[in-house]
Amino acid sequence: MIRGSPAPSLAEAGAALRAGTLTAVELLGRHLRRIETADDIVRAFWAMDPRSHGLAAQADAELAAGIDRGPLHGIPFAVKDMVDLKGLATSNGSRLPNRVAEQDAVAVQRLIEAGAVPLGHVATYEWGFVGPDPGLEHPPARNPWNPTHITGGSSSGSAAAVAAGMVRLAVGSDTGGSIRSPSAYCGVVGLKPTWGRVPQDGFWKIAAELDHPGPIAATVQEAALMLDAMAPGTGAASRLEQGAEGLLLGYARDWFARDPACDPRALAGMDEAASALSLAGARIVEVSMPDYDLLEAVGAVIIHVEGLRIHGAALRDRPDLWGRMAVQTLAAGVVLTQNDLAAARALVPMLRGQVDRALDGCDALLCATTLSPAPPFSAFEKGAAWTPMRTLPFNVTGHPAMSVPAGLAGGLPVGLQIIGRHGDEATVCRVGHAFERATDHAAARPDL
Amino acid sequence: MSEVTEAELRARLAQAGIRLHEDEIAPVLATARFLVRAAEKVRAGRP
Repeated sequence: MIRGSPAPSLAEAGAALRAGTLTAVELLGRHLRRIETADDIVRAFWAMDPRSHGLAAQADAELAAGIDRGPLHGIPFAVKDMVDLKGLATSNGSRLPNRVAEQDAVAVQRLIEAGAVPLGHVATYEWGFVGPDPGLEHPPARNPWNPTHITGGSSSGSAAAVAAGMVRLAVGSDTGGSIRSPSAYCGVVGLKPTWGRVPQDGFWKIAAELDHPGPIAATVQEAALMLDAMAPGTGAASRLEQGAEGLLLGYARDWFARDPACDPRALAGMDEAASALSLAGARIVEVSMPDYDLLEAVGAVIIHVEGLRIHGAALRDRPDLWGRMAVQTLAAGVVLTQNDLAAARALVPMLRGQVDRALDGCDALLCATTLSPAPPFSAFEKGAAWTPMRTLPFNVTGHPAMSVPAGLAGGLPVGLQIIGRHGDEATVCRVGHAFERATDHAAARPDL
Repeated sequence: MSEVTEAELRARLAQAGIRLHEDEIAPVLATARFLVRAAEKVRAGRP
């Protein structure tokens, strides 16, 4: 058992801050003690933000003066190292020369304006592409549930830090599942909002049309509150208390269950999740989804053509500064053309319409986030390995999608994915919160 | 390009100025073939 207790929930910390039994500076100290010990195992944090103590002290002074910025007031959060924190270098997990950010990313600015306290940068895969690559400056983050297993990525440190109780909140970004898949593997909540909901300013772009900044948090309520701060007006937390009663949820079971890569234990977890929501009052119907292979093909073409456009010169000029996994992944894109990219982009409106039709009459859709629990690091000893999931389609179509913990398979977490209509994060969060209340999965934490 | 060959891949890499270790050609070729199939599926799926 490690020293330092896990970070308290926003509700617990917020009540203590307002009752005067805890200060934001003390809360920051509790987080730092947890990081100091747990991070030897998890390896999530790469750089600490020197502003954190001053901002925590400011939060205390404001509360003492009667200024309350809301539920994030005084709450520490972590930031993926592909997102600018003023005064820190944004490494993007790369050895290439980086730059010190002159400004916070807009979403980070908004969190600070909401009273939250940035702790520092946490691990990512190299340029957000592929991992875990052991040949980089920072060794990959490890899964708090079993450190011999990967966290998933690319928001690897964000999910691992939340799962390890080092923070309740972390900023991530998702281009093909980079918020949702590590959240599923680490047993935390990852919310990819509707495309465009959170500004991309200050986030490193992989393929802007697929990139979605968003929150990773310990619970649905905390993720919703964080998104509402990152994107004011979203109202993600506005309907949490309405429960599952009366909802019609489309279960896209065949869409993942028929995949030979689907682990039967993950499938059993999804079936149990659908049953739990049914018992909580939702009506569950099976729905047909668009062709997964086509959605994946469109996303893969866009990511690889855009990736090579952005990184081609650096791959050519400074190959010694790249991890081999990223080189191999990006290099394969040389077989694609701008015509392929144009053809992929031309399909997006049709595919978005097909997902809209699957949602027609339903309040939200359900499916697995990943088709198996986190694989061991040993599966990557010879290079990148396939990790089957159902996340990329909603980067292509831009629908909001969230992964919530749905129990354990072989001692490792699996995640239920909840997909909503464009702009309807409130229903996605309502379903997720109802699911948390109907089960005890959200309370499960790794025994570090 | 229905099935990209190793020679075609090497030519494209040379054109792009990307150098790979010799033992990386096989995994990159596997990914390149996946991408070529993806591009073909995209073209077939054109609305």
